[in-house]
Amino acid sequence: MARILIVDDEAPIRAMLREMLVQDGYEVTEAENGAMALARLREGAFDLLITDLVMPEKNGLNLILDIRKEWPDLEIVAISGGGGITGRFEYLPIAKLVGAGRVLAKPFDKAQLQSVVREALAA
Amino acid sequence: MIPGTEKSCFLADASVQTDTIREPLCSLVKNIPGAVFRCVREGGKWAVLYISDAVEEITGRPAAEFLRDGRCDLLGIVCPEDLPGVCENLEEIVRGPEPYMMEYRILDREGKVRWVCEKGRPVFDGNGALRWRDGVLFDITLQREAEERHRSLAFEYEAIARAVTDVMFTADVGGCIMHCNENLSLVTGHALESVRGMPVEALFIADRRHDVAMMLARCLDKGRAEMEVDLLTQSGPVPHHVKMVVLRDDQGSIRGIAGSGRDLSHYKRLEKQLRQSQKMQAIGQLTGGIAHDFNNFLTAIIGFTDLARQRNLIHGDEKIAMYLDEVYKAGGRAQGLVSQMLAFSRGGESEAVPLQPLPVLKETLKMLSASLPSSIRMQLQDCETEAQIMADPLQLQQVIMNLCINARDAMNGEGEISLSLGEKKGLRAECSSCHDTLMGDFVVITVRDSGCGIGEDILERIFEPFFSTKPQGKGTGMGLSMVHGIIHQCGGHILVESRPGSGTAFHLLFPRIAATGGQQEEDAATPVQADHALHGRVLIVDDEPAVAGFLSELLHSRGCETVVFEDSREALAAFKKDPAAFDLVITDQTMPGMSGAVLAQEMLMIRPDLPIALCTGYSEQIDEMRARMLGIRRYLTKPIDVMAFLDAVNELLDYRPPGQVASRLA
Repeated sequence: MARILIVDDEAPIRAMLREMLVQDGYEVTEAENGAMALARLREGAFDLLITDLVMPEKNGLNLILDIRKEWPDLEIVAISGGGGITGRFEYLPIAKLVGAGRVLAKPFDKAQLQSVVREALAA
Repeated sequence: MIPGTEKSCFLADASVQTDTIREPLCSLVKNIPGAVFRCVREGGKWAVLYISDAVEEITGRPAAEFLRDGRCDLLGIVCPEDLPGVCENLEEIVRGPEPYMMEYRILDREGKVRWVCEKGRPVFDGNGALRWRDGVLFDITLQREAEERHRSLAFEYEAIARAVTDVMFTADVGGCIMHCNENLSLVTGHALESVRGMPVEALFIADRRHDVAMMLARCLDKGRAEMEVDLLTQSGPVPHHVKMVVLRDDQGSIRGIAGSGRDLSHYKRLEKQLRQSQKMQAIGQLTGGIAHDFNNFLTAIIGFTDLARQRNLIHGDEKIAMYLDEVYKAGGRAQGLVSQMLAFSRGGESEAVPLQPLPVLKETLKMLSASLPSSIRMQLQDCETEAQIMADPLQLQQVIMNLCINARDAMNGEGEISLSLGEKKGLRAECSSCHDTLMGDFVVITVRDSGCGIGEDILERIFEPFFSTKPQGKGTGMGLSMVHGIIHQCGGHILVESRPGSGTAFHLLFPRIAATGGQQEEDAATPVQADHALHGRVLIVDDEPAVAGFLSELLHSRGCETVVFEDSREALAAFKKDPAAFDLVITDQTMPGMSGAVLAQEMLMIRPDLPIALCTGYSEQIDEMRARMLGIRRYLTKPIDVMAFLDAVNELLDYRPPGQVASRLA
């Protein structure tokens, strides 16, 4: 079964993602920021990474840039609620530009998540 | 000539020769601070019979030179320009025994011009025949020069008073106007002559006249005073900053007051514009931040509700299923509201493409016509342009529909809504929502209604999020906020024309884009995303092709035009050819040939206003303080944080006037 690493600074969202993904039989690992995500990636192999973009410490865009250097083939889905602290940028298109294969705007339901995860793993 | 008298006085006439008279007389005339003389008329000329020594102080010539046998007479030293006038005066003078006075210029021994004043009286004998003319000549050169200086200064001050746009006046100690400049008369509508004698307070609005009177008293007491007060102008009260200083004469005695007033309406307007603009920006940032957090909450709410609904399928509790459906639906509605908030803060998703607005307008009209009552006529008129704009067609439709629905609600079920499309060239105005000054050429979509119009007090707030005049529950107050966000996301602006009872027109202004076929296809294939705040031409200099390429692609995706150089010297050469071609320079620090700091210095010498961002590694020689001292606006450390980088670029490009954006896109 596919191994998925989820990265989000919001614990309830990590919990929800875990629940949805575990129900579908995926093996899930959590990280609450970019630096922890890099550490988890070094510890073990993953088939997919789902990351939020606006996070403290290391944000999702920089995480994707770093991942692309070491793990160029890892599938990445970026999720974001838009806006951000400055309220000026929509980061999802930028996430695609820096290396996320797919993006998903928050909020989403299980069907939307299932669809994007399946697509990413089939790629 | 009488021996022994040469040095004290010179007499050509023997009639006053006795010692008893001569001695005191000579002493007397010697002490008079002027040249005493007696001239006799011989033929058509005046010969000097007597002249005191003082003439030498005035003319530089000894008295002896003027006597009958001397080489010159008094008229002989008069300046040629004044001689005809002097001769004419003398002809007039000898008609009667009245004393006379005249001022004229003479040439002294060195040829210098001196002003003299001659005072005298013609003397007649018993038969009425002219005997001679007695007179005194005073040197008034210094006095004349002082008068000339004073006159010239007065002319200069008068010219200044005419040239200034301030109102200026002088008043006596009683506060009555003595003089004023033309502008005061022009602005207040009082004729110059009628202003004189008016109390200063009468120039200002009635309820501040007491304050002005107190100000006059304060000025007389303290020497100066100032205050802000409304001047009564021809077009009504206008705020002025009034200053007064006390006027004193040479002895230091108070002669009155000098005052000036500067029109503050322009500053007040700018201040209001800035305040409004800052308010909208602050609300935008706040809304964007809140929307982001709300989306996180909603993700958990919708996601867990979804999970709960699925789990409930197993247990089959209908009530719980209904409850969860309601939570899920409410989550969906909240999601809609948050997306409107994001649209306002320009953080929403959109896909801007080059498009002609007309098909979008037609489509929107078709959609709306079906839902409007027949008593509301809706039409498309004056669509005269085929110009293209950059916009997301769905969002544009959303904007037009929103404005039309507002128009419908403003009409009580009856009236007319018209949509029109045109172009405005060389427009200069203030955006009704962001309050920026805009200038340039624009494509204009107008939505006009014959509804109830909008009052001025409401007009200022209509674009604020959650501001609504509709009854509670009828509107979210986000409609026009969304319009504001979407239009500005397209690099556009909004002008609102409205008067209560006379309908409203919303003019949506979009920068015109070039409509070449090839460009259109290319843009349609790779649509430029939202965030049109990032318009500008950016010069990127980095010797590492991968970094330069990435930064270029990143900025290009946000709407910027980029030019990349991997060699800093080549970048400088290109910059020197056309320094105005770039809105921003992003340069690496460590590069072969020329470092980023040196490159920045060279560029700033040519264009000191150029925004430059310097990217450095942690261990490099230049620190942020030094970079700032060189005039580098932003200092970014590697590895570059993408979000911080975009924020920095946005900030560095943001200050440019929107008109420049428009002209560049056109």
